Amino acid sequence: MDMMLVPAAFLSNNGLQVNPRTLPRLHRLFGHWLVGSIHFIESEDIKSLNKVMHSVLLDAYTNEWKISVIDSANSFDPFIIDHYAGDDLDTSDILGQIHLARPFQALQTLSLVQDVSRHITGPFHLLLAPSFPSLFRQAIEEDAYSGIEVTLLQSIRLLQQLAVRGATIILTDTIDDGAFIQPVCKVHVRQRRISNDTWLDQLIAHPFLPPVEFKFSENGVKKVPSQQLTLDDFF
Amino acid sequence: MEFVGWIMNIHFRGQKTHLWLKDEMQTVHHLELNYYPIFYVDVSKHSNVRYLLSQAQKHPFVKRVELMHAFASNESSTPSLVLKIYVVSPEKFDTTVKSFKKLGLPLYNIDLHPREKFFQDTASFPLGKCRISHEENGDFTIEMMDDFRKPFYDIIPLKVAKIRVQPFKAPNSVFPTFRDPIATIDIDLITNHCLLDTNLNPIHPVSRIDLFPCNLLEIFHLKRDWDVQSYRIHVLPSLVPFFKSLNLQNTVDSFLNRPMQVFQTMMELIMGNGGTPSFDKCFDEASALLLLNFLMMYFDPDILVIVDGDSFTLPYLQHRAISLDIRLELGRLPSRIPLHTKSQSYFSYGRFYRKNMPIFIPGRIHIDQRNSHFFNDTGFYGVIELSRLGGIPPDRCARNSIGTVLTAIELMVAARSIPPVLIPNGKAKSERFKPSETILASDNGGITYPALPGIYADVWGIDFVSLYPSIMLKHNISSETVLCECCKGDGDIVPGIGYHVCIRRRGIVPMTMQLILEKRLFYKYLQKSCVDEYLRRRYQGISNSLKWVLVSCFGYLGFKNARFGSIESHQAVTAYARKYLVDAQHICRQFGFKVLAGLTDSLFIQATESKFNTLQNISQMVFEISRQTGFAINVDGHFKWIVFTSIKGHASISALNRYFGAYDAGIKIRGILSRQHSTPEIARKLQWDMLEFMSGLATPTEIIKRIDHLIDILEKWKRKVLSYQVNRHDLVFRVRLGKSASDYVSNTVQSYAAKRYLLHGRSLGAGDTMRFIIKDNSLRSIDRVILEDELDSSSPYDAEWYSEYLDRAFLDLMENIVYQFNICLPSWLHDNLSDPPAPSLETFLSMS
Repeated sequence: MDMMLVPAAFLSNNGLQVNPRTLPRLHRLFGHWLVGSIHFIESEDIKSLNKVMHSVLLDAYTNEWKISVIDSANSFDPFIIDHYAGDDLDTSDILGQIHLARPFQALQTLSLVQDVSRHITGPFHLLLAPSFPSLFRQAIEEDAYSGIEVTLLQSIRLLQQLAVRGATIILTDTIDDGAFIQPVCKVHVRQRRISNDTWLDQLIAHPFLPPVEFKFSENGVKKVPSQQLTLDDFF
Repeated sequence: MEFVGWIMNIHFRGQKTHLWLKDEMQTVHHLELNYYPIFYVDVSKHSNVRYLLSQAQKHPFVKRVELMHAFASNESSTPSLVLKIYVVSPEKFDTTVKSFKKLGLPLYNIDLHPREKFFQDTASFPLGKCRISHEENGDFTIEMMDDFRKPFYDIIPLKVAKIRVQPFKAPNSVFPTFRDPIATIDIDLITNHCLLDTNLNPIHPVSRIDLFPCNLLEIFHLKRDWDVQSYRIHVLPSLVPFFKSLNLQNTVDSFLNRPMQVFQTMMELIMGNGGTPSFDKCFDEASALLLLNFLMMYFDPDILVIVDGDSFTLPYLQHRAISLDIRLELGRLPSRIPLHTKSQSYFSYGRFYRKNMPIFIPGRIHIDQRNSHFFNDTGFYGVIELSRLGGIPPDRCARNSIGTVLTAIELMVAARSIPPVLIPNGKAKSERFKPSETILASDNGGITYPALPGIYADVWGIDFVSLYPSIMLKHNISSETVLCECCKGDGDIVPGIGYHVCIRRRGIVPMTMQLILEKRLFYKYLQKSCVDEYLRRRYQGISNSLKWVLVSCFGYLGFKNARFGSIESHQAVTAYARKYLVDAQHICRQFGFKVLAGLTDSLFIQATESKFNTLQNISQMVFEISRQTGFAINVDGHFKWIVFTSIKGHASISALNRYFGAYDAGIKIRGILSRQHSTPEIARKLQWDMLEFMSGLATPTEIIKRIDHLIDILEKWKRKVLSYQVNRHDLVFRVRLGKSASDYVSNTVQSYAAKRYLLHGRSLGAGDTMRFIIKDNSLRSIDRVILEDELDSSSPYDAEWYSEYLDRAFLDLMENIVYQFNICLPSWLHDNLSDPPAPSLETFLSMS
């Protein structure tokens, strides 16, 4: 099954704007396009990124996907889930279906990726990893562990294998516009201006790369040309 | 040869390990050892162990290989087959480990600090009595004649030298620089550490002798035992005539019976080429440094206490020595002291700290009291205790964080298990995947019952004794025991969160807790029963050091790098603690008390009727709580009155950890301005004057009646401030920086103070403390503040601002009482009150 790669979220001049009303569209994205891929969302807007994360979780739940969260930022908030669930959904059941663990340093991140990789066998499994590179970045900055780059590489290879198996993997990271951040894994195409006052953050695909995008399928990884999308594609 | 004595210190250089051992005759033996550091390879899953063994033996850096069984990490339920690999020398250790990593097999005991690893591998510990068999070729064995678990132990008398160096400061300069020449060197020589109190100050101070050429022989008057001498070397240009007139070298030789190269060098330098004296300013500094070298060699101290040694003094001395082409020799081996200080910031328990990189001096125990996180609380004897327990050299132990010390103790316990538990590389154990609903239930922390802000009469404070460590001990909580594989069906269940705990194997953390709790109990008993004041302080220091470990053990259990910690074990402890506090609360109610406030392991209770307020009832209640929970609970005391304060700006919200009250004898304060590190002395004095007066009053009603007197106290201090009659040092704020000085963007007082430090050539980082007074709060420049180092008795300050600050200090104590009883304050004071508390629901309804 070949999949098309599309952005999973988008930025406007007002930052990453997602509210519960966009859920049906995210659901549409999930249902048809996002299976078997790695997506990397970067934003300066932590709050919006957090909203995206929780709405994606809810969307996966409504589609009866299995859900695993590796929460490097300790940012999962059950009360946001409760808020989004409203009266129609049973919050307790949603929380019961979201399997979550929090790494607090880079080696633990790898350990959790290894752990989750044992349980993901096919599609319809969402692995969400908020602030995934943050602990690696921290370890590199603090020079905390020797060979941390190898650990990062191992983690990303495992994620690739999971994507090939059909899992949908969404990684997020926050970026600070002013401060210099040591790049540890560049996996997305940066924002593009698509009209005079609108920016699109195109999200992808493959770690360590690049201006081209990759897609994952049962036959392995194939290089495909970048998709040019506009916001109209979403609305 | 065989030596019996106490291990002082070790140092690695080249292929050799240098060890200093002091025997009972107080002779220091310097042994050069062939130490073969050990690591382990788990081969239990390898198909051809014999082949692996033979290949390992062929490795050029491997001394020998043994096959043995050990628990590969604390998670393993059964011992594994491992290769025990001895590396030819410490310097080849990392290279060897790197090459073995290529095998892809799990390696153990590879990332311990080298000096601690020596003690781990040789099953020894510093300042412990041992027997060392030392072959001529450097091979050795260490047999400990001491046990780190023992509460009583002998330590051979240690010689101590305390050094303080004072530079000549350039005019207009606030802080000294490395370019400034030495003005004086103060040296205290103490022949037995027992002559010092726990903070390493002489119990019986002696007057300081000013060393001049005419009385230089004074330095040889030091007796071998039980003597304290204090000298000040003045850097003066008058040493030469003295050395010319005396043949001092012979005197020295006969006294020490060994060649005195340093002294000879000093003599040669002083005499100049061809015996012509050639002294100038630098020359005198040189002779002072050589005299320092000589004193180190002559006295040969075991402990070197250097004031600001890491941050300034040692690099400064080295700088001066290099500029004078002199070799500074303070250690028992030649070593080069770094020329620049390095420091790093770290964040711990919500606060930034700044730590200087340690400078170790080979063969001696170098202590810089200002560069130690816990020295002020534990003193020297606390450091020794932790050093023995954790197998950490004392100079490193004094500078380590308490978490590192705790880990070292756990590693000692693990290494001495049978079979031993091996230490995996890093800490990779993460939280397990759980339904987020479970996390919501388990990630709750301790219980807090916030009190309604205000003053209460007749309150009892009760708290569990070391509750969290005791829970870990009683319920066997450790990373390997919570949610273990072996007891899935039948383990003990943690209340409220449903985790199971191992019933088949004792965890490393509980074993460590048992050791520390028992020791602390013992030292607390000694501390209380001891009549001698100095001994009592010594035991108090040891008890405090163990208390530090106990205080941090729970937090460390959940710390990301804790070797024997895990989130689940952390959560299990809080789950038990919540249960026990709720149980205690129920029992209090049964005995006729209501709970006013509670925080994690303590409760503040008040009798619902006066008939319950008896000692007999309280003691029965405490007994019942201890009986039902299984944990000791203390009656902290009976408060005649106690005030729970509110958070800033919200008079109806309790601050939880800010309260003060009067016991039947004494005052207890927590969190108020007087307890805060940054508070200037003047606010502290005002609050203490108020508290002392209030503590004499028996009830809240009396306090309310005497509020005018409290305002008088405030006015007295305000008058002093406004008439400039206060000591300027009493106005100093001590503010710890939360970020580097250059990172400040807004124009706050802190940013101006940081900039002022920068102006005087001192760049501060996160964790550094600034000391300054407010000169003129209306200014928006660095002249808004004056640094403490710039102060003199007539320095200007903003009297109006400090006067208002005293108002805030007054209201810090009184605000909640004012609101509770609708007390009318003078308008100048009333304006500083925060918003009144929101009305209660009952009042609100009646209003509408």
